[in-house]
Amino acid sequence: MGSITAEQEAIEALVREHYAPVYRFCARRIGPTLAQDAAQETFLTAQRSLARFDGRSSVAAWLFGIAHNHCRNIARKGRHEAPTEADWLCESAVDESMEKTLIDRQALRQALGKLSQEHREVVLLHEVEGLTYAEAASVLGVPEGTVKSRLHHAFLNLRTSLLGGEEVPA
Amino acid sequence: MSIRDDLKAYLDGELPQPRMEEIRQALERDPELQREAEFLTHLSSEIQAVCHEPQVEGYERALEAVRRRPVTLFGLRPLQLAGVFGLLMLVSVVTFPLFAQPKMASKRASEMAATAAAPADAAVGGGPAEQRMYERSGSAAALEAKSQAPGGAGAEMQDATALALPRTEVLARSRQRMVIRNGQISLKVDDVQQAAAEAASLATSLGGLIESSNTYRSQSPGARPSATIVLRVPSEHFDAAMRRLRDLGVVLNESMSGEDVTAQHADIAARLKVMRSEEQQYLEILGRTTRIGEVLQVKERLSRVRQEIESLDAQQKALADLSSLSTITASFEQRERVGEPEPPSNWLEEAWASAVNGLLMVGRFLGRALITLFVFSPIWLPVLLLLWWLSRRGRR
Repeated sequence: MGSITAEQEAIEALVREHYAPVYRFCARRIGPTLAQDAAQETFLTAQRSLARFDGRSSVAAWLFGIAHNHCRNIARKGRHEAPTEADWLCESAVDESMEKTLIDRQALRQALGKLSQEHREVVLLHEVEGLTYAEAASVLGVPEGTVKSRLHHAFLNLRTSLLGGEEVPA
Repeated sequence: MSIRDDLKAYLDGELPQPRMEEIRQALERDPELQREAEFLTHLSSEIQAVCHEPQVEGYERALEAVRRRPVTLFGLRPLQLAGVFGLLMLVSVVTFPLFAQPKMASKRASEMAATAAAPADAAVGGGPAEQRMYERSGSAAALEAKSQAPGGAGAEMQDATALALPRTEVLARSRQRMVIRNGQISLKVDDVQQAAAEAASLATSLGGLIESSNTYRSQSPGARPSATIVLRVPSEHFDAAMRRLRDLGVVLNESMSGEDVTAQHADIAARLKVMRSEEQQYLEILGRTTRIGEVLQVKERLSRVRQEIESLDAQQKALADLSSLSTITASFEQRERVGEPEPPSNWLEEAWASAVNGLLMVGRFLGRALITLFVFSPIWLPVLLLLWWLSRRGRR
């Protein structure tokens, strides 16, 4: 009985702590409309498989892995419209014109929009969600070296798009 | 791998220490590489800046959902639990006959022992329960299993009969007694005519006779001939006759029965003795009587007694005849011959009938399973409910 209560407390703590990043993760992939369902399903799945979590990866990476599968299933069933740039890239900020930057943000948005799905995925996981290569690899279910390689090529493509030149294929 | 290929990983701190050191030194030496590194760092921060930070929604709903966790038992949801239960039921119903078979074979063997002991008891005991029937029947498959599988059901049956009196003793006792033995055997043979002829010669060679013989062949196309022959053989050769008949073909069905009529015969004999004594007395009275009226009266009584004597005598002879000559009904059926054209069949009708039969069989099977489940519900239902209640209680 005690273990059930402890398990319940653990899952509630998990929701409190990780709901926002999981929701954002889903929203960037399938849009805000379906993100709520995907995030909720993620935590229900986590609740069922809590006992099987071995702690080899971080909790965030584990949850992102579950969320990744749910988002992929939703995408496969065609229940969502393809994510637009608006789903994961923000519109021009008010103070952007005031900020002096080396990189043209509008051009960066376009360059990010042109990235392949695989490259965009690693960029999001590493640069936006803040996962390490190992964590990103566990979320995507690929070797760590693949994450490193994809990230390298993604940045190469972004650089090429921004500075001009030939893009590296995915 | 070039330094530039690992530059991004270096900036992310995702390289082994020696490689990190190598790239650090390369950066110190190469201003171009430094500019590239600065660009990548800046690009990273710019990506974060342009990336959308969605407004978080549905937090309360998700929290409520995990609090309202679905009812599970042993980590299974009701539907999964029903599936597992159904699967278990199916497995148990399917495997039940496999486990039950040895027990049923043992039960059959016990029954065989009991029936084998019955005539022996009759021989030893007597009394009102003297007329006992014993019957042995079985399909060809069972008979083959009995004769061919020494470790199988046949062996068990042999063991069981060994519990009864030894066969020789049973035979010896049965000779002193009057037992009407009947046998029936169905065989599949290569040639019906030949088999019938062999059966007839078998009866005569054993000192018996052919009571009736019937051979027929249907007019319908593809029908094979068949024959039925009723043999009367001396009772002491009954077993030998059955054994030799079995050798004529493949046994499809066989049954034997015996009726002990010793008591009936003894009863008739006793009544005959009394009647004959009575007859003798009437004859003596008749010799002494001179008056017409009395003579007619005695004659009438004498006539009745004689009729009774004749009837009893006939019954006694019939019993003696039946017990001395056993009756065997042998049926022969022609076996399909290689190269013989198969009778034309309505395959559509057969397929339909087969499918319908299959469906009915599955229906009956499911019905039996459901009934068994329902009947056993007083056992499993309280346990299931208790576990469910405990599970619910534990989650509160």
